[in-house]
Amino acid sequence: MSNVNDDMQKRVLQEVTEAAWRRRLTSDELARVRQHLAAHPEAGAEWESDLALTRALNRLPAAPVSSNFTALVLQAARKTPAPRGWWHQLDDWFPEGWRPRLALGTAMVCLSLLTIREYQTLQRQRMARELVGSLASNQPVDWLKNFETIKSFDRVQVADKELLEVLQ
Amino acid sequence: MAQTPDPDATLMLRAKDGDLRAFEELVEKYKQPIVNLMFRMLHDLAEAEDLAQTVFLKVYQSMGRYHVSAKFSTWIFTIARHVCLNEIRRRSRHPSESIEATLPDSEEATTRQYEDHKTFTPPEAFLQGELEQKIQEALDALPEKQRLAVVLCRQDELSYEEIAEVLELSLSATKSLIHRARETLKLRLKPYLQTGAWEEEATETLPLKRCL
Repeated sequence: MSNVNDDMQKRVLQEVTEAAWRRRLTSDELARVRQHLAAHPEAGAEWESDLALTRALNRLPAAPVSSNFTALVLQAARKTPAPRGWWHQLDDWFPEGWRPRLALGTAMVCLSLLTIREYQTLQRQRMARELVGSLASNQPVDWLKNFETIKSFDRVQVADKELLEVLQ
Repeated sequence: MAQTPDPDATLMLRAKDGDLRAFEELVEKYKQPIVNLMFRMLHDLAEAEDLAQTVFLKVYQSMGRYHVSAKFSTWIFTIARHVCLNEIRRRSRHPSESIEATLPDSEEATTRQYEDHKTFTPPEAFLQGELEQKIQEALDALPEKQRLAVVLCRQDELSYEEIAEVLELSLSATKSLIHRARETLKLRLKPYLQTGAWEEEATETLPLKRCL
């Protein structure tokens, strides 16, 4: 049970330590640290050195920035082309009024493709109808009457030896 | 729950629509943290300013591609990180060249105007200067990723989650990186941290004597 408590306290202290790296601690956080350090005085040295480092880093002065820094940035920004999205950058490549033209062109191409596809489908249907019609009307069905007999030739299992000898 | 819009993102969207005043506000707000970051990473004030200008110009040029998917601070610090690491790599390849030699408008460097900053009394100035130098040396000796993590950790604009995003690491990896860097710094600065030279005023975060 005490191990669980210790782990929890360590975790809380870790969170407070990480907070102390960045900002001033709240009174609640300070109370938690005091509580932990009272129970674990051996952790005091580590806490103190950590805090000392934070103080040291906080005392590093801010780098001086030239008073005309913003002016210089704006001056350089004005020299560069105005920022635009890639869609607007296409204006550089195409003549004026290209957008409605592109839209109209795209619509016409789509309509043409649809018409061609529809025409091809109708053509195929017409050709199929014609083929079926011509087969039904022009071809006699007599050529099919010996179909079963001819097909049975394939099923002969034993060779006709007499016939083979005569043929040889 | 409705999310509060990032005011910087709002400024950025205005700037994207051609409002240069909005861009100016962003530069005003972020110039100090970006110059600080560059200065602590490179320890060269002139180059820190040049690189900070490069960062803002990249922001300006990338406005068209900007979408409010991340906080603006995370976005600009990510750009700053790339610019900074590129410069460190460039320096390691061409150690003698200054960045100003590679910039088109090098006359800008001569037109910078600095205001007078905080002044120290002579002994205080000496102590402050020496200690600052020791810290800077200890920072310089850190691997660049650890140094960047420690410097970003001092930025009020970024949470740990956002620092992790800038560094392109997980949250736990970021905290671990900062922890390792701080352990190294503590070791290197041990004699200075123990002298009590860093004793803060009574308003400091935690009165140690009371809690121990």
